[in-house]
Amino acid sequence: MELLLEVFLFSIPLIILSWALPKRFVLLSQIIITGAFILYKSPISFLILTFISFGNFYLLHKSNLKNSIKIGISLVVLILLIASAKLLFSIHDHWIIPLGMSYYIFRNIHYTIEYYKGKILNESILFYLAYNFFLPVLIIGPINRYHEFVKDWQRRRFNSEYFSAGLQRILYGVSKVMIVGNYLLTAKGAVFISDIDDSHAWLKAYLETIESVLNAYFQFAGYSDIAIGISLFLGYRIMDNFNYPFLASNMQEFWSKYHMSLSAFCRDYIYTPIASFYRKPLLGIIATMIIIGLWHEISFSFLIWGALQAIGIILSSFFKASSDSFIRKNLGRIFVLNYFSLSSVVIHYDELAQALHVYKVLFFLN
Amino acid sequence: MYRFLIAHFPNRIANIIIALWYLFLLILNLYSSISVEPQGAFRYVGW
Repeated sequence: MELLLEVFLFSIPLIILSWALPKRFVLLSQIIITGAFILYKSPISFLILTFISFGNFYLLHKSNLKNSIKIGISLVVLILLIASAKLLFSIHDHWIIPLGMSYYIFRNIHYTIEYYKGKILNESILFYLAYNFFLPVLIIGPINRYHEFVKDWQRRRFNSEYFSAGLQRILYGVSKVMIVGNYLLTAKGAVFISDIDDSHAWLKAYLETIESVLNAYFQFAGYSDIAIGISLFLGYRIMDNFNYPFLASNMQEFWSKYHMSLSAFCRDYIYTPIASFYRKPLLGIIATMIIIGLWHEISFSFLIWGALQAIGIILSSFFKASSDSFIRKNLGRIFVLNYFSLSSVVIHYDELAQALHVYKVLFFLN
Repeated sequence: MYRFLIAHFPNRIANIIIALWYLFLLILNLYSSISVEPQGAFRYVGW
């Protein structure tokens, strides 16, 4: 919550200046305030982001290298950076991932690939820096797209509807974090579950599983809402990150509604190339979901989690409902909540042995 | 929600309902923030 308050604090001058300054200074003010925020919170992240921003821009737009070599260097450096940070996080207990790195590296990979496709026509370093140093989405996403960011900037004008929509979004976001996540699920729900007698081990393990998944969802969706709300205050419409995922009736639909900016990124840059090159959609699904798992953390637990998500999607494509009946839809929803919760047990515990113990309880193997 | 209210109630009633709803959320947020220890960043988000 402290981090959230600091984001709000830095957002106030950001919003005021973005409407008070002449347009030519607005992007610069956004870059400076966001830079000051990240320098204050995480100097190492500031250095990495600055290095990536200037390095990638110079490499792609100013160097005389062949296009394929430029793209290769850019992607290898970005992937090595994120992979080494995540690996260090898995190996060393004291290492923390530099603030927002998981998100800004993916934004830059997106930029590089779009440049390769010839879709980056605007070669302004100011836009690129503003895209990278954009406070609302910097620390927790969504992984917004460069074109949309530039388009919003070009269309940007003072609109009171954006302000009311932004305020509503922030209120809903804070409510998801504070009321549902912190109060109902953590303070009340978790305490209620821990008070359950050990003789009801199955019920306890099951409720803990559901509670931790719902808690993660509400916290994450809440922070995403806040990021989208602050962006609206600045005049940008950032893509949604969640669209009622637990109302999905199969795992395929679930992953098109859950962490949408990441799943859309992986669909565009991992699934589509693999599925179309090898003509094997299943291979695309497995690779995509494993990478989504490893994006969270490079560990065996997340590898298994990713594979389980892939299995869920593949199974759902076999059992796709021919009719959209009410009962079938709701049975599907129950399946989605349970499948996702049960598959997430593997990432909720530091040790795999603990997760295995919970699985034994849940499947009556004790 | 606002669109639903506007479609089904007179404007003034819809505005009052939505204002009360926001007020209710604000009060609940304040109550939650003073009665619950803030949670730290959780690893799922990848901070």
